[in-house]
Formats: sequence, C-alpha cells, structure tokens
Amino acid sequence: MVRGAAFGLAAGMACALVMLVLSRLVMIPDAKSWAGAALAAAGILCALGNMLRKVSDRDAAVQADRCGLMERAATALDVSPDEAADEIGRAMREMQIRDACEALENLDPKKIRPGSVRRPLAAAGIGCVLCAVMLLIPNAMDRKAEDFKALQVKLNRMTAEAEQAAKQDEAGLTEAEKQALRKLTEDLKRDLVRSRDEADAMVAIDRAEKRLEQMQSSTAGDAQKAMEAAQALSEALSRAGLDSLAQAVSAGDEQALAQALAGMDAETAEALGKVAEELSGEAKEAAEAMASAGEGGDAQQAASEAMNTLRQGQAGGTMSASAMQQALQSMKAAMSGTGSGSDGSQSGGKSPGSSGKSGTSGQGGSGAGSGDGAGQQMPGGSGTDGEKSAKPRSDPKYRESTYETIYDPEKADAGFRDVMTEQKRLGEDSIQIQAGEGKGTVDGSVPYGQVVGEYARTETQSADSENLTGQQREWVREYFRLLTEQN
Amino acid sequence: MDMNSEIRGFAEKYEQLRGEIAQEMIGQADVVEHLLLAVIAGGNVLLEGVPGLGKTHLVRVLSKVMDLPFSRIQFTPDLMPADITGTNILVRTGSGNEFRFQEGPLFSSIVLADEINRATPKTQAALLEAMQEHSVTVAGETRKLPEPYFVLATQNPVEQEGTYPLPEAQLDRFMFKILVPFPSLEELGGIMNLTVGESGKEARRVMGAEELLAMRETARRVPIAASVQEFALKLVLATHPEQADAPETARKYLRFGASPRAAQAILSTARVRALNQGRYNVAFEDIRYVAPACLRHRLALNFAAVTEGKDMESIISGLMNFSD
Repeated sequence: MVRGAAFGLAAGMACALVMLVLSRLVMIPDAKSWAGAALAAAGILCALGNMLRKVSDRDAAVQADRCGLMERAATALDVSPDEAADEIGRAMREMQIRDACEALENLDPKKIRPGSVRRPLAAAGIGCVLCAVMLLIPNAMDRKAEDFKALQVKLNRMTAEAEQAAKQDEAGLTEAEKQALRKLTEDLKRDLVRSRDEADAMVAIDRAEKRLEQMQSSTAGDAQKAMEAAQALSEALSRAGLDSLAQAVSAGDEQALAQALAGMDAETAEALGKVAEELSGEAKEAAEAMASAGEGGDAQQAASEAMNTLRQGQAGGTMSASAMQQALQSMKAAMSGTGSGSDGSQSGGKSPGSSGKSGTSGQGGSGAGSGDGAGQQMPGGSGTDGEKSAKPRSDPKYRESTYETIYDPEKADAGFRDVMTEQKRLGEDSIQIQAGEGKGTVDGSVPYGQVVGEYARTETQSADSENLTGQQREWVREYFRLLTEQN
Repeated sequence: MDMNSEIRGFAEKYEQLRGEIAQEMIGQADVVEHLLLAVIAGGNVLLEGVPGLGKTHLVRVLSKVMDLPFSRIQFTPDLMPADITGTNILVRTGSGNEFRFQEGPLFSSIVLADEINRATPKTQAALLEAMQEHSVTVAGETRKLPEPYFVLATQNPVEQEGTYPLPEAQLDRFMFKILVPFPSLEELGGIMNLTVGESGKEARRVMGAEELLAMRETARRVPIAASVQEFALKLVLATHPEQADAPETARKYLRFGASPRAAQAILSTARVRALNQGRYNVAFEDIRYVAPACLRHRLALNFAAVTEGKDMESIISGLMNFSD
C-alpha cells in the first residue's frame, strides 16, 4: 500500500503539473483545485489498487528474498525434491527447502519494506518542487479564469431570472404562446450556459429579445385581423340595415346579439345570408353562424358561435410578456455593466479620419475598433483599451449582421464621445488602430482640405513601405501631389 | 559420508583450499576466489596481468593444494603444435624399431600456458581440442586427457609487439578471464617477507582429483530459481547489439555479444559460489559476482567505445543494471 501510495503520489504530481502547465496555455476554471484533486485521486487510487491487488506466492517470496533471504524462498517455490535426477540432487533440494524455511522463520516481517519506494518518492518530490515553482510564477490565465467564473455566476443568476419572468408571463397567455415562451426560455438558457464571454451572452440575449419581439408582433397581427373582421361584419350588417345586430357585433355583446337573433324573421335571415356572401374569413363564418339562427336554430347558440368565431383571433390579444421583456433588458444592462466597453465603429478602410464611436459601454469604456474592410463593423476592445487588432474574426457567429444588432450605435448611450483613429501597419495581416480624441463627428462632415494632407502623407508612407517598384511609388507620389495641389 | 554431510562439507573444503593458497599467495583474494570457482566448475582460465604478479606461482600453488599433475608451457613464436600435444617418435625395441606416442605437456591435469599470446595461431589452435574436449588427436588417433583437466593461460596486456592475439573462438573456450591487479603496499610487503625474507610457509595438499570431481558434481546440483536463471540469460542476450531489444550501451559500444558458452559459464560458476557462501540456491548476487569474469573476454568493443574511452567493466556493469 505504501508503495502504491508512493507511485500514486508521483503520478498525481505529474497530473497536477500537467494541469498547471495547461492552465497557462488555455483557460481552465479552478485549475488549482483540479490539480489538487488529481493529486489526491491518483494517490488514493494507486494505494487502493495496490491494496486490492492479489500478491502471488512467488511475488511474496521475491519480496522476502530482498530482505536478506537471497532468493532462498523463490528457489524453494521453484524446485521439488521429487524432480531431482539422482540422490545427491534430491538431498540438495531438500536442504535448500529446509534452508529457505529456516531463513523465513528467522525473517522479521517488519523489515520487509517495499523495494522501490525511493524512486517514486523522489519523482514526487521533484514534481512537488516544479508545481510550487509553477504556482509561484504569476499566471495571466488566472485573471481570465476568474472573470469567466464571475460571468458564469452572473449567467446562472440571469437564467434563473429569465425562468421566473417566463413563469410570471405565462399567466395571461394561450397554450401556444406558453409553449413558444418556454421554448424561447430554454433556448436562452442553453445559449447562456454555452457562452464563453460577454459577447456570446449578449448575442444570446439579443437573439431572445428579437424572438420575443417577433412573437409579440405576430400575436398583435392576429388580434388586429380579428378586430378588422368584427369591424367588417358590423359595417356589412349596418349596410344591410341590421343595425341591432351590427351594434351587438361591434360591442362584442353576445347576450345582445342573442336577443337580436331571437326575433329574427326570414327576411332578416336572407339579408344575413347575403351579408355572409359579401364577406370572407372569420367575418363570413360569423355571419353564417348568425344566419343559422333564422333556420329554426337556437339564437343563443348561434350568437355564441358567431362571437366565438370573432373572438378566436383576438383570444389573447397582443401577447403580453412584459416580465420577460424586462428581464431581458435588465440582463443586457447587467452584461454591459461588467466593464467591457462593447464598441462598434465603422471603419473607412485605411482612410484616416474615419471615426469610431463608443458603443453600449457600461462603465464608460470607450474602446474603439476598426475593421480593415470598407464599411465593416467590428467589435470593439474591452474596457478602456484603445487598441484592437483590425483583423475580422472568422467565427461565423460574429458576422456583421449580429454586431449591427448588438452594437447598433443608435442604441448607444448618449454620453459617447467621438474618436479619431490612426492606423499603424504591424505586419502582413495586422493593422493596429490607435484611438484618440476625435476631430470630426459621426454624422457631421469634415472639410476635405483638413484631411487630404494627412491622407496623402499616410498613403505615401504606405507606398514607401510596400513592396513596390520605384516607378509605382513615383505614380503614387505624383497622384497625391496633384491631389493636394488641386486643393 | 552421507549426502548432506558432503554438501555441507563443500564450503569447508573450499575454505581450506583458499587458506592453503593464501599461505604462499599474498593478497589477490579476488583472483584466487575466481580461479577456484572456475577450477571447481571445470573451466579454463585466462589470467591477464603484467609480468611478476605471481600468476605462474599461483597456478603452481593450486596444483600443490589440489595434488594434481602440473605442467608448464612457455609459449614462444617458434613453439609448434607437436611440442605441446606430443608426437609419434621412432624408438628402438627388442623386436626392431617402432613408432611410439610421446605425450606432450598437455597430458597433465593442470596445464599452465604461460604467455599464450606469444605462440603462433597454429600452436594456439592446438589447444582448442584439449580445452574443450579434454582430448588430443595426433596422427588420427584421439587420446583422452586426464580428469580433472584444465588449462590456465596467462598473457601480458602491455607488450603486444610480436604477439598473436587469441582469436574469439579460442577466447570463448576460457570460462573466466581474470585480471590480476598490481598488489597494494601492504600486500607487496607481505610478498617481500614471503619471498626474500625468513618466512618459509608452504601450502599443503587439501584434496585430490577425486574430491575435486566430487565437488564439481555437487555444485552441479545446486538448484536455481527461474527468475535468477532468466536474469543470467537476459544478461547474455543484452550483450548482443543486433538484438531488437538490446540496450543502448550494447548497440553503441559493442561489436558482438557473448556466446551461449557465456551463459553456461555464468550459471555453473554461480552454483559453485552459492555453495561457497553456505547457500543451497543461486542468488542474483552470485550472477553479478561471476558475470564480469565470464563476459569481459567474450565481448568486443567497437571503435566508438575506444574513442570515447569506455572500458569493458563499466559496459558490463551497465548491461547488468539493464537486465535487472
């Protein structure tokens, strides 16, 4: 068991070391706890495994021989006096077995110590030192892991809030709407759980908000349609001179409608039939239901049927999900309040003077970013960091449309400030954007004369640093010389 | 004497042999130990050391304590095979002349082949049959040599000019190659007292040929555990650089490995040592003790080993650790 524990300790140290090294390369939440758990688990498992392992007679003999028996016990297990070829051989084997038995009798079991404990313990010691060194050297990933953990806590809380809000909203909804809202909540929950950062969470919340808006506008359309049908029926009835019926339909009063239908004569029934022919959809169905009262039918039932037909469309009216809406709004506010100044700035390619604009910054983060493609929107840097690589992210979920929605400048706080960007070419595929105080405004115009000089200077410098022929460089210089002269 | 007493008496007799040899041989305990192991196991021994270390004297003392016929051959470049094996000579008898076989110095129980590497390969090769088969064939007639029979050869490692290094086939016939070191200050003082002083101690006979053969038979019966035997065999296999699982040391520094005779030598001498130590079984320790003497003349270092200054002892030690 001691040997197993020693091996386990060495193995655990190796696992812990691997975990600590990995935590420097990739973000692993609670890496130190995991490393500790790996150490403990390996030690216990190896000790248990060693304890449960069945030790054969031969292994026991070899172990005992290591304690001074000098292979006596192992040999005694291997030889048999009966197998000896002659008398002297038999005598020798008997003496050997007797000798081994005597040596075993004199052996102190306490002296039997695992043979190779020293090596695993030395390995564990080295591992321990390396782990300590790894723990002492600051790890940049720790901060990220802590942020991620905080985000997870926040997302869990948000998920719970969203579920509660959905339950509150369910009270006044139809079954279909309830189903849709539950689906939306489930999807939101799943997306939030999968979120790796604030941007992911924002995308998820925004998607949910959009879906909720769509659901609401869809139900609003149905209610409108039903109202229009009632209106059309009422107007048709008025035109046909059936004012009492028109009033009852207009008021939505089923009782009044039943009374009006009760005293209906054949002429009225015929008029109702004509009205039904004029109409379509729910209005037609309601008119037909009303007409059925004149053919010896039950006026009360006909009225009920007609009103039901009209009510069907406006059963719930516009879907009410205010709690959910509020929850989503507060989630967005909470997300933007984490300090990551989300920002979207429109880039004018390489042209200087293109201004960035702070986005939905929560705590005054005035990050600025720029894409290197014309008119492309990019997510901004986090916090107050004013630098951001201009290389667009290839992840499909960060497509332009997504960011247009989330970082729509129109939704930005009023307190934004304009920024002026200056680009610096770092390498083949990277452009650094330096944000600073802006010279222009987003919607305003900048006089051409103010920017053309800088434009010319930047492009001439770019031409000099590019792999161009002398003649090509000369063309660029000539072009900008003429351009500035014209001005 | 019953079997048990005979087995128990083995170690006692061995101690007596060692004690008597020590009367005339100061120091060199390890050399004496190895020599006795090989002789009791029935093998030939190659003693290597600079002149004047008492190699020849040791063999003489051995023949005295074992009471065995001894002959000494000083190998020289002009020594011919017939000089050592014997030859048919024409002798005059009463009925006329006839050829009669005149036995050479090989017809003795202990043959000391002094400076064996000075003789030509032809003469060296004449020893092969005697060493392995314990017989001599002259003019188509094979003659058995007396038992026990063993060749103890010496060679000087420093004077290599005008010598004929022993071929691998002949080296393989030697059970042990024993390196005779220079004596320490204390041992040197003892040697001086013994040889040029007053001391006149002489070794006495301890046993005869019969007893030696009986000891050899007893040693052959010592049981050996499978794991111990496997260790010895793995060690021999590990000396082969061409083996797929050969250790890095063998691959890097050895030209070729030991033959199965090496494994035989290791196991038979380890058995003798086990009895000497008062055990009735072979231990790993015995294998480790005899292996260097069994392997050092059976392995050949390659050019890389020579240029890197590797010696055979460290390589064998590395191989033993690998096989463990």
